Amino acid sequence: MRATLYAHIPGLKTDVARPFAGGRLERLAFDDWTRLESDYRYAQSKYDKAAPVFWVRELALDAGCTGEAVADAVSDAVWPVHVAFLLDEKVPLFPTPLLSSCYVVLPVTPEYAGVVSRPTMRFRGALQCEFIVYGEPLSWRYDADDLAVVDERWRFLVANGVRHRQGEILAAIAVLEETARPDSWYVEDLKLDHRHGFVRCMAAAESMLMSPESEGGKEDSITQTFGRRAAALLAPLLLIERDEAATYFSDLYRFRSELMHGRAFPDQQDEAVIARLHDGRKLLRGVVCAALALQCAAPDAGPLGHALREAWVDADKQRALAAVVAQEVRT
Amino acid sequence: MSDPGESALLLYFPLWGASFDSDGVGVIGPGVVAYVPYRDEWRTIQKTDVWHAQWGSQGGGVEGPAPPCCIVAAAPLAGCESMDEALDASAAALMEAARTAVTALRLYRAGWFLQPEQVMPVFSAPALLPNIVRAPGPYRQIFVAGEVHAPDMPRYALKIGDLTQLAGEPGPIGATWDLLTAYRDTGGNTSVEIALAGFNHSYGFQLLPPSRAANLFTALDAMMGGMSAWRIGRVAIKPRGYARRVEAALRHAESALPDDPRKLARWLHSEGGGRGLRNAIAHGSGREVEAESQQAHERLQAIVRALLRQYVHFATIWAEESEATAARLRIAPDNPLAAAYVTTLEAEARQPGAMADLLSRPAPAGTAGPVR
Repeated sequence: MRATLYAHIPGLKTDVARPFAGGRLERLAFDDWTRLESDYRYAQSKYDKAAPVFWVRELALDAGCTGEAVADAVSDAVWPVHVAFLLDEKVPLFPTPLLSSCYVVLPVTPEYAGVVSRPTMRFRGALQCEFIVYGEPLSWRYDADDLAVVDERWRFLVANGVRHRQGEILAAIAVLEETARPDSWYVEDLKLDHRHGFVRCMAAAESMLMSPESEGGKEDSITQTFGRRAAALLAPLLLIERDEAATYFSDLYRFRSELMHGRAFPDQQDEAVIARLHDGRKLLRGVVCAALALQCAAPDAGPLGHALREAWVDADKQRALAAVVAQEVRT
Repeated sequence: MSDPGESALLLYFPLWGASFDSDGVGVIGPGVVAYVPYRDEWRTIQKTDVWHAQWGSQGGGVEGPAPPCCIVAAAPLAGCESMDEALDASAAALMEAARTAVTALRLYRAGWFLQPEQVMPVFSAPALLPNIVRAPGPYRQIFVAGEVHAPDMPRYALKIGDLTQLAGEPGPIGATWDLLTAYRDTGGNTSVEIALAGFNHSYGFQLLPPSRAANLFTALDAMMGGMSAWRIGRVAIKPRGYARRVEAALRHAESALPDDPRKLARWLHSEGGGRGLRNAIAHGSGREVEAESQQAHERLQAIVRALLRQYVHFATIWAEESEATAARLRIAPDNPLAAAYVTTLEAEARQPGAMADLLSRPAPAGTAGPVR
């Protein structure tokens, strides 16, 4: 059975109606939305101001159309789209559409065509329609070029069956997803917590980059090793010198340690501090993208930390690793 | 509290999910109380359509919807003639006080309620126009449809006996409030703030059990360093001493523990317990981390609660008497807080009782032990 899915993407702002991720992105007109959602008939001015964006696509309901089966189909469809946005270079704090509202319009069989017009299943998450009607505390604007990149990433995630893999990469994606939920960043109107996401993302990056045996190292050597491994993985993508990258990532790890142990107390509302805290999220995003590229190119390769340790000391291995990452990311 | 105070700005922090065993008012700290508002009072501060929706979801009984227990913080209007003026003067301080009260409740007793800012705090000043300002959070619509999304955790059961009822005789939550405000008066410390944030996020409304557990491990890292760490800052620590340090800390716990300190410390550091769970979450090992996290949550949170109370107390001493404390610990006073705390625990593990004054506050005469 084929149905139509309308998934609100909380935080996304765009004026572009374009083909996207096997369907299209659309700013639904208020009347079209109220055909899906009947509880907000008097909220047009607020809705128009919020300008919510929906991802609309055909949904195959091969497992039937019980509530559970349709919910699973919605979750399966939404995951790669959401992750494609989380892995965008802006690393936006988009909560999953499953926290907002998704709608599935079922087809009407001929015998009921005169009785039912649009049988709609509503899947409301804990945000209900708050961000649809009243707007989001955080939003990101995407133009056609931005969306084309996200679309490509969605194709990569689907083609490689990333959702069904195991290991650090999925754990790291889960951290990007968790820290995009309002529970992690919302403090009050116009006041957001960036430090918490930074700490969580840096921990996830550390889990990916470091070998389990390096956990017991002295703090100074962990800081240096972290920087080197991040540089071995990401310097080719960032098009900067490896030593320069290693120094930068070591400094970022040192900043994390100073925060964790109580040596630094920066003002969280300072723009420069906010940018630095966001760099932790950017780093994790970069590590996930590069690790995905390596895993897809060599599914049976050993732990990432080992490969990076060898790449740092062996120029041939570094070149080979850089070539794979660059090639996979390009394609 | 039927008379909300004509000359005050009030902040209502509804504790959705909590229960209160009294229709009285209890004091948390100066200007901060907890009570269940009268239905008329609740109808005044709640937006009409939300009130009706909540009423409908509760069956539409003749008395209207049941108000939740609220933390209410008050500040004098002090000559303010408009709501904007009053908010400019006092809103930030009231929010800070209400947040401290939330943390005091959580540091004192286990149990879940929804973080109030995530729903809708309400400012009320009956003497001003407008007299109500609501601050909707992302999950404000959720209670309207009942509690279908509430996490699978025991709910917070606030008791009037936990709160101060007579001046000069602070209840146990009042004592926790004092602990937090004494720490805040020192100017704060990032390590404590990260640990507090991790602890508060472990109640996350829309977080999955592994994320809640991961937040507790983050809090532990901030206070204790890594489980196999050799060094914090310039201070060397015993890489194999983690369990002993935790045990030494838990022996001075001022909140309830689900088990003997030694057993808890060993569990936390074991592959079959906390350490293994932490690695499984971080490395996506394919273990059933969701079920394991759910099962371990209460125990793990109780450990962090006990350590965090102690860490806040220690941070206050470290800020106020860093020279003397550092000399006693034989470390430099410019070392980070976590290094000083871990050094204290190592000394306490070597010689039980030697650092007791740094790890627990002297109990006032006649007070009971940790809440069970």
